[in-house]
This record gives sequence, C-alpha cells and structure tokens, in this order.
Amino acid sequence: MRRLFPAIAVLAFAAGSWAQEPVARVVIEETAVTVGQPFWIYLEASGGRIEFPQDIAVDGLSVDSNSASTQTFFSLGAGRRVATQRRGYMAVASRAGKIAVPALAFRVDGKNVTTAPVEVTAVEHVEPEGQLSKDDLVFTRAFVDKNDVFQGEPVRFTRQLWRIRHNLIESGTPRNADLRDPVVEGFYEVELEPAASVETEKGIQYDVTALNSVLYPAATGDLTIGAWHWEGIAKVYNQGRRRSLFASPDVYEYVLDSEPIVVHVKPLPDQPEGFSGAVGVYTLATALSSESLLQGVPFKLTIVIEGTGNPDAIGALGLPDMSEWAHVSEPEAKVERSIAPNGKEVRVSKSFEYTVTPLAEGPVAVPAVEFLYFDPQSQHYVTASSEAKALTIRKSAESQPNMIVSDGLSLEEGSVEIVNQDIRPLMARPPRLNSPGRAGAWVPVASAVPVVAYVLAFVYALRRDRFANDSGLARAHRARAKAEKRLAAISGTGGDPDALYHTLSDFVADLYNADAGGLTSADVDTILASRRVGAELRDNFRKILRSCERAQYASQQFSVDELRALASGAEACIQQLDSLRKEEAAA
Amino acid sequence: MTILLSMLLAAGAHDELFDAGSQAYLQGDYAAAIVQFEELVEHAVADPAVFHNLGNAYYRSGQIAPAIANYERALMLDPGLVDTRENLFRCVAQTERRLSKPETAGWMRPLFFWSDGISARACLAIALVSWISMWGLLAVRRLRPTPYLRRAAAIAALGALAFAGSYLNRTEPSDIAVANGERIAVRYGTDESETVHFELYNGDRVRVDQRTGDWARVATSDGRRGWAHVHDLVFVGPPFDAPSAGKATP
Repeated sequence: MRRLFPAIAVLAFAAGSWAQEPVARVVIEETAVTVGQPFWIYLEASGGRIEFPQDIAVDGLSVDSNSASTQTFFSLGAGRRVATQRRGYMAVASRAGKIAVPALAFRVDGKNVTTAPVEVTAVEHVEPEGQLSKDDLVFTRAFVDKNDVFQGEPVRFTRQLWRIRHNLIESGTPRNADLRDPVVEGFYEVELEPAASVETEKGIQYDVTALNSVLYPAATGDLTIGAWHWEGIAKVYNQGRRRSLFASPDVYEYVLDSEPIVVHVKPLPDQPEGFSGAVGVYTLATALSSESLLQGVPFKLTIVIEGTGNPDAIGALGLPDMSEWAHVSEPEAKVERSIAPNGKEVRVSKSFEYTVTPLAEGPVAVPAVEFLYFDPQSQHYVTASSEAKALTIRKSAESQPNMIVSDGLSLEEGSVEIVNQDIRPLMARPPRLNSPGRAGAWVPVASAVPVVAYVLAFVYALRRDRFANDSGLARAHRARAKAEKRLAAISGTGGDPDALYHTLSDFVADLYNADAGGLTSADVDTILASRRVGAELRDNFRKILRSCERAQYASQQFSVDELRALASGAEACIQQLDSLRKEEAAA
Repeated sequence: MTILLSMLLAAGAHDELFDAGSQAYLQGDYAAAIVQFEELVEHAVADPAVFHNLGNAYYRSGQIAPAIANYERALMLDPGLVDTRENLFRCVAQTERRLSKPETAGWMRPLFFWSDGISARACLAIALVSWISMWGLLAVRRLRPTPYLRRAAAIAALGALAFAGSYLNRTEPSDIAVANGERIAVRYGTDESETVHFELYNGDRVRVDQRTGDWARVATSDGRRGWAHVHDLVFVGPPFDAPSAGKATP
C-alpha cells in the first residue's frame, strides 16, 4: 500500500504533464527527517530519454548516488503513452534545521529541464528520557487562539494529534475507529488544510498533525465548541527484538476527548448605515480589464476585497451610479482563501467582477467604491475605499445610442444590441405549445422504432446468409413457388407432358436437394421412399409421372382436360409434399 | 384516434388561452393576463414562451419575485432566450441587493456545461436523431458491411449519450427559488420561535437544498444558509406553482 500512493502520484503527475514541455520535480515524501537516518529523495520526469544527474550535491545532506534506482510508470493521455521515470537517491541529513535542495538541472528528450527548489526539515533524534507512560505515546489537544471575540470575528480553532516519533513505536487510527468532529453550534466553520510538523516536548519528539479551521461566530453570548473525540492505538515493540512480521508488540488503545471550549461572543456596537456585515481587517482595490475603452465594447471592472474576515459575510457592493454613461451587469463573485505568511491567520480574497458597457463617449469616471466593516482590533467601524478612476471612452464606428447588453452571455462587440429602454415584449405563440406529457408519449416510440427496425434487418440478414451458405435450404424454400409457377404456365400454354414431368421431378429434386438431371419416375419414388413419404402420396406422384412418360414415349400431347386433371393432381401432390416437409422441419 | 382527437382539442384550448393572455396583456389588463397564463401552466403546459409572457405580466403588475421566477423557468427550458435573459436582468437590477443566482448543486451541471446554450427540446431532438442514426448505421452494416460504419455508429452512440444526458440535465427540476415578500426572515431552524439568522429581500434568488413540511432550507449566493417558510418563496422548478395567495407584493 505504501508503494501504491507514490505510483498514483506519479501517474497523476504524468497525466498532468503529457501535453506540455518536459516537466521535472523533486519529491521528498516525509514531513521531517531525522539527522543520521536515511531517507529517499526522488527525481521525477516524463519523457522518452531522461538523463538524470549522476550526483546530487546538497549542503547539509549526504546523497548516495551509487544506491540510486529508477522506476518507470506508464500512463495514457489523449491516446498517447506517457512514460514517467522516478529515480530515488538515498540521503542522510548531517545537520538539523531547514535544508534547501536547490534547483536541479538535467536533460529530458534532449531539452534542459530544471526542478523547483524544495526544502526539508531535519531534526535531531531525541531519545526519550526516563520511563514512557501510555499518555506520553499519543495525546490530543484542542484550543482556540482567542476566547473573547465580537460577533463575526474569526476564531482560529486547532486540533492537534501528537504521536511519539520513535522507531520502536507505531501509532495510528484503526479502520473502524469512531472519529467525531466537534460540534460547533453557533459558528460558521471554514476548514483549512491540515498541517504536519515535528515538535519536542518534555524531551520527547512527536509527529504533530494539526487540523485547523476558522470559526466565525454567528450568534452572541457564550458559545461552546464541543469535545473532539479521537480513537486510536499505539504498538510498542520490545527493545531487544526487531520489528518484524512475527514480533508481537504491546498494544495500547486510546479513546481521547478534548475539553469543550467556551468562546464569549460580544455583539457588535451600534451598526452604522451602509455596514457590510463584514468583521475583520480588509483592503479594497479595483482593476479594469482594459485601459483602451471603446463605446459599446464591454470591459470588466473587478473589485477585490482582501482581509482576514468571513468572506461569506461580504455581499455584492453597491456600485455608485454609472447609468449616465454605462450599463453595468450583475457581478460574478469569486472567493479565495489562503494562510497568511505568519501561519496564524486565514486571508480571504473576494472579488466581484462587473461587465461594464460604455454607452457614451468622452471622459468619464469610475467612482470610488466604499466598503464599511468592523475592525475588532480597534473596535471601530472602518471604511475602506478604492480610488476613483478617470477614463476616456473612444467613439466606436459601430456604436449606437440606447444600447443594452444581455447579462450572463458572452459579451463581445457584436453582441451589443439596440433596443428600447423598456423590457423585451411578449413572445409570440409557438406553432405548438410544449407540454411535458406530450413529449413523454412519442419519445419512447421514436426510441423503440429504430431498435425494432434493426432487429428486423438483423433477422433478414441472418436468413439471407443462411440461404447463401446452404443451397439445399434455398432450393427447398423456393421449390413450391417455382413449381406452382411452372404449373400455371403449363395450364395456360398447352399439353406438353415433358414440361409437366420436369415440373414434378424438379420439385422433388429441389425439395430434397437432389440432382434434377435425368430423374425417372422410379428415381423420384426412391427419393420419396427414402424420405419416408406415405405410400398414397408416392403413388400419386408415380401415377402422374408415368402418365407423362407414357405420353412422351408415344409422342403424344395431352388433351386440355387431361392436362388440367394431371396439373390439378400435381398441384395437390406438391402442396401435400411441401406441407409434409415443413412439418418434418418443424419437428 | 380518440386520444389524438382529445390532444388536438386540448392543444386548441391551450392556444386560445395563450392568445387571450397575450391580448389581455396588450390591452393593459395584466391581472387577466396572469390568470390566463397561469391557467395554461396549471394545464401542464411548460413552454418557455408561456413563462416569458407570464414573467412580463407579473413585471408589469409590479410583482418582481414571480416575474423573476418565471423568467428563470423560461431560461431553464431554453437557455438561449436572449430576450428573457434581458428581462430577468432588469428585474434583478430592481431588487434590493441584486444578489447573483446561487450555483445549483449536482454533478451533472458541470459535466454538461457545453450544452448551456441549447434548449432541452433541441437536446432531445439531437439525441433521438443520433440514436436513430446509430441503429440505422448498425443495420446497414449488418446488411452490407462497409468500412467506417462501425466507427460512425460509435460516434452516433456517443452523440446520443451526450445529448440524452444533457436533456436529462436540462429537465432536472431546478432547485432555485425566489423570495416573494419584503424582508423575509430566514431562521436557524424550522420553527417560528427560532432565531432569525438573516433576511431575504423581495426577488432574492436562493438555492433550496432541503424541504421539511412548510419549511425550506435556503442558501444564498453569498453562502448564508437557513430555514424559510415555503409560502414566502416561489419555486422555479416543477410543478410551477403560482405565488402564494396574498404574498404578491406590488
């Protein structure tokens, strides 16, 4: 499993970089490394021919290039196979502190690539002093940065899991552990990225995982952050035994609950008119997408509010009236959060993007925008404002008076339309008013028809193929129709016994896939007998055929009545034999 | 035959109602126009033109919230209606806070972003044509094998799948509602005694993510969330109910 995650990471890296210039990076999977203990530094790149550096020189690290090994992963991107190589170098930190791995240069597919510099933290190994108790191995902490705040003021809430850093002790969360986040009723919570570090306390070194969130009190009074419930285990292996598959460690179970935290939330002082509802410290800035402005051509006006408060409390700003010279669309809001460089504050940036279409030419101004917020540090309401911007709108050849632009559509020069200042008029009645029920009735029918047609075509093709591959079947299938057609022709033309004879003998030959050439009445009878045809029917066939033979030998023609009688008998025989054959086939 | 006849008669009646509503509107009788168009909606007619005109009638009679809701309904059925979008913009511009429309939930909407400008009916038509083409190509291939027919059928199948998905996405009931009333209280819970969390203004669009009895949990585009009474909201999605009696705010 430990090898699976690097593989997935490498494949994701490959997928992301398949279409771009060769990309390379340095990966160190551990949060912090221990001085004197080996760890791996990986170099990754995607490409066909990768020339990794032979040696890596890093101040504070001893890198063993001789032990380097390379793994190759393949992934697919847009029909192309991408090979990603990961070369691992074993390294040992020679000193404690931050160690910078500088940018490393090498060649991929003949091109020079450079990795971004990375930093690794090395800590001295600290051997715990004295006897360790169960409580020293794993413990949790939950705390806030302040307990007395104003409504809406951000409170940083931290939950820390401390796990001892020792090569004979493993700790973690079992699969079925009951982990419960604290209840933060009355707060609006924004969770931040977890952080990991190595800390030393009471001479014991710990891996500390911190879950951070920012809480914005939504109500006043004493609000309680509930207990954080964590369950886990620690496995302690004996000093004298190596940690192996067969070692049986001492297992300690933990069920840890932090103490509830009470935060006193004060109401905001009397709120002045125009108060935005935001609490924190903010700055305001405006920006235009273009400095070269044409009448009728929209541009973007972006107002960015940055600060440390709750971005959700910041509603769209009421822009000063610009209707004399511009049409302004509804704003599109965007929020970004980041941790401040001091690592203790959450900085938010909320931007409102307005599409402004200049309607008039000449010098105009985007007025200053004001934003009134409450600063909990100074405990005063503060107004942040942007500077007014003077602009000159140039006349466009395509500009027209009374322009209104559509909101939410892609706004280009050509999309500006000329309309009245009133709302758009009624729509005309369509040829057929849409009713969902009506659509529902014909859709399944229209969907099923091609499927049925395909099935019919499929069956037809199957049958056609069968006939094409089995000439006997094809002959038998067409035998009766062919014979009846010939009989009808004989009845209409005259009394030729030869034609009648061949009609019957050919029918039998076709029906049973026999050679039709030179069949005598005896041959026909033999064929019928071999197919176990009844004696009466065979006798009828024989009589008709012999009558024809006799007439042939005597060089006679049948009279019309004789021919009709014989043709009628032949037709009956053909029908009977055909039915018999079909019954046999069905059986 | 009987069914077809009854459908034709119903269609004729719907056309008459539509024309009557339009006529009333043009004569300035907006209340009558609203009644006619709402009756069409009650008869399960869900046509963008009906909702556009209903929105206009509400707008003319000074009822911004139902006007916004009906423009949203029209755009839900046919996002390419520029006139409706224009009118919606005008209505929103007249609301107190001009809140932007909250993002709707669901994984299908980002997946089918490419069909944003295509109406549900067009999506369905393209999906059906692709579907029929796919089976037709397969049948031709079966009867007379020709190079590239299988590939063409696969492309038609993909087209059918994509546009059918887009149609389902389009017809998925909208979770948007419009606040209908001045300063509507949004509370922490589903009880009148619950503390008011914030207030909605007439015409504010909210996303409804849960309903319990007469209460709906709403979220605004600026991230605030709470419970509002359903009678204070006009829901954009089906069954396209008219605004609650007495709630319309001139």
